[in-house]
Amino acid sequence: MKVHVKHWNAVAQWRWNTGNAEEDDEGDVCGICRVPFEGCCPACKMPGDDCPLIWGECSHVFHMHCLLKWIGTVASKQQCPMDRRTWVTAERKVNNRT
Amino acid sequence: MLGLIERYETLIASVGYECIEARVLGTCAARWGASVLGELRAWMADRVVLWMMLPFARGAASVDEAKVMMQGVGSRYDFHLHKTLCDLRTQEIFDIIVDFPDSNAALLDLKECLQRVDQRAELVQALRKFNKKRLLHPGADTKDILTQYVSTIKCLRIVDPPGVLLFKVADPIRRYLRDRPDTIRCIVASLVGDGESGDSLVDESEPIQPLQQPEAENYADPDWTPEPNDAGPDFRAGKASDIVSTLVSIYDSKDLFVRELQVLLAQRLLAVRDGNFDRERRNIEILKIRFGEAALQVCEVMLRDMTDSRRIDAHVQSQTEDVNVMHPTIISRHFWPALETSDIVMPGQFQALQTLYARQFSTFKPDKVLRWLPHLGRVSLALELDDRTVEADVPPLEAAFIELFGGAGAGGEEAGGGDAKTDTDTWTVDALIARVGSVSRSAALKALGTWVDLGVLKEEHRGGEDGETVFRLLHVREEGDEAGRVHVGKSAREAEEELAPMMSAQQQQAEQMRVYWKFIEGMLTNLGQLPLDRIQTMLKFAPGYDRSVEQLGAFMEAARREGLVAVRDGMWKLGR
Ligand SMILES: [Zn+2]
Ligand SMILES: [Zn+2]
Ligand SMILES: [Zn+2]
Repeated sequence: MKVHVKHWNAVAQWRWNTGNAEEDDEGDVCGICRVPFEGCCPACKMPGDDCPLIWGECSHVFHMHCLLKWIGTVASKQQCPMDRRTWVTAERKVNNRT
Repeated sequence: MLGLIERYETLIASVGYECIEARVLGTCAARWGASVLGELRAWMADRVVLWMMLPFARGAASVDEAKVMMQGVGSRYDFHLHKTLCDLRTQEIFDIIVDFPDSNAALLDLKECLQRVDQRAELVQALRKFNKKRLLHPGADTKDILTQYVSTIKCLRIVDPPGVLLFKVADPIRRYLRDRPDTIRCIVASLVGDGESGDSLVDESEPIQPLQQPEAENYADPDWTPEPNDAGPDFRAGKASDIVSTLVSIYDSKDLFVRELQVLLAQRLLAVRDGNFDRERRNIEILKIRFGEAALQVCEVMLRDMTDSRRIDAHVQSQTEDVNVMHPTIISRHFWPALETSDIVMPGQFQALQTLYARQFSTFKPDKVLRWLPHLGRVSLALELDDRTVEADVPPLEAAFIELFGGAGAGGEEAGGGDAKTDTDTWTVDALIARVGSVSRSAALKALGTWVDLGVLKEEHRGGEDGETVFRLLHVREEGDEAGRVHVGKSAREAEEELAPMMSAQQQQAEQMRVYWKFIEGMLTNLGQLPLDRIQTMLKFAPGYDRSVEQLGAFMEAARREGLVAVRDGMWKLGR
């Protein structure tokens, strides 16, 4: 017998490629707003490309809007809110992958 | 003579009353399509008044004098006419509501009668009694209860615009609906027009408006009128809400509705095959007006996922021809209702397609990856067998199984290379489950049953009747398997033989129905006895249930023969 697939209406979820290949099912949350990465920051309504992530050299990841808002405050002293190192945006780490 | 009449006045009057009753019952019973009050009054004037002239206005010198003499008895008779009609319509009220809007005239008559005769309490009492007996019982469909409730709202608003009667009648219905597990789903399905059944609870003509919350009385309102004196302390006046607001207000919070809407929309969107979801988009726009933008925000994300998926697919297809049969819907987690998860592993070419597509996706969107939800969606297949081609449109699990029969398992660790053909021709359920991963036995049997029904697989017992159950691929259609074969001029004997495979198909279904027995047993334990269609309605809440009511009937019949259930007057109950 030959099985010919004529049409496959499949379903998938998209995930940010945060480097954690097999993250647990709850997923990671943004360290600033505590909303999952695949959700969107409190200022946005649409997840995904409209509310992207930002990677730091320190390896921390945030919603880009959350980080920019944080960096914009005086209290931040331009530091990563997690480890207090000066924030340096990393080249997107996925680029290293390919 | 006069003395005689006075003595018999009561008797004469009672003859008149009986005459009126006979006339009303004889000419008006079950006649709701036209107003009857007018013709009854004409009959009174023509016949009864003439007849009364003799005893009651005997000595009158003029017509005017006669009128005065007859005023007392005349108004008593007029009152009796209204009371009799009022009693009749009160007894008929449940069916009048069923008949609405054809019974509109009868309701207007009733309204007029109630202004003349104060029998509002009797009407409320009667309707509550009928509702309890005929509507609010486990045998009634939730959809039917809702339909009758909506008609009741419309009818009682005609009879009593302030809504006091409705308030008193509606309360038990609302409480009963609140306790039913499928009420919200029914209302929601009706809100988004469930397509198949045209009878929506909501009139197309009713304007779409935001949900109304019960408001405080507004005495500044020029239309404000004091509440009728039978209103009672709980009665909240206020503007008559639209039907949807009234239905939603059965529950304390609209959140339940919004959640149910999301589930329904998700199911619909994932079922869209032709990429056309304009209807769902339109529904969302309407629901936004009713429930507010914020409540429908996640639905917006769902809709955008649908358009994004198409855009992404167009790009992927432009890059490679290797995945041209695969068109996935890519959804945003956290924005779709919790979809049941499953870790089934798609074998063979399906896995290859998944890998290829995911790679293309990540090339297009370098910061994202795909995670498949393999148990969702549908697959269109053509199975090329030795003597026939079978086309089927199936859930992914069915596709995974048949792929294994097709040789996807060959070459793997389990199947020895040389013997591949025989190895993949016959599978036990356990072996299939082991290859596909987390899937329940009942789901696996259901999936296999699809192929048995299509004459692709055959269920056999290895080593006699008590042996292990296996499923074998029918490379060539088997003798006696009549599925799809065309008979021309067959003899009676042949036709008789044809019944055998039909029977076995039925038995096959009965076998699959056993999975649902525990649901049926549960509902009969809890609800006592149920008619077949009600069992069918409730079974639709069991995962994966897709049998027709006829198939259910055959199964219940089989269960009855085994003494599991008993049936009487169409009501099924546990037979112990
Ligand atoms: Zn954030
Ligand atoms: Zn954002
Ligand atoms: Zn950091």
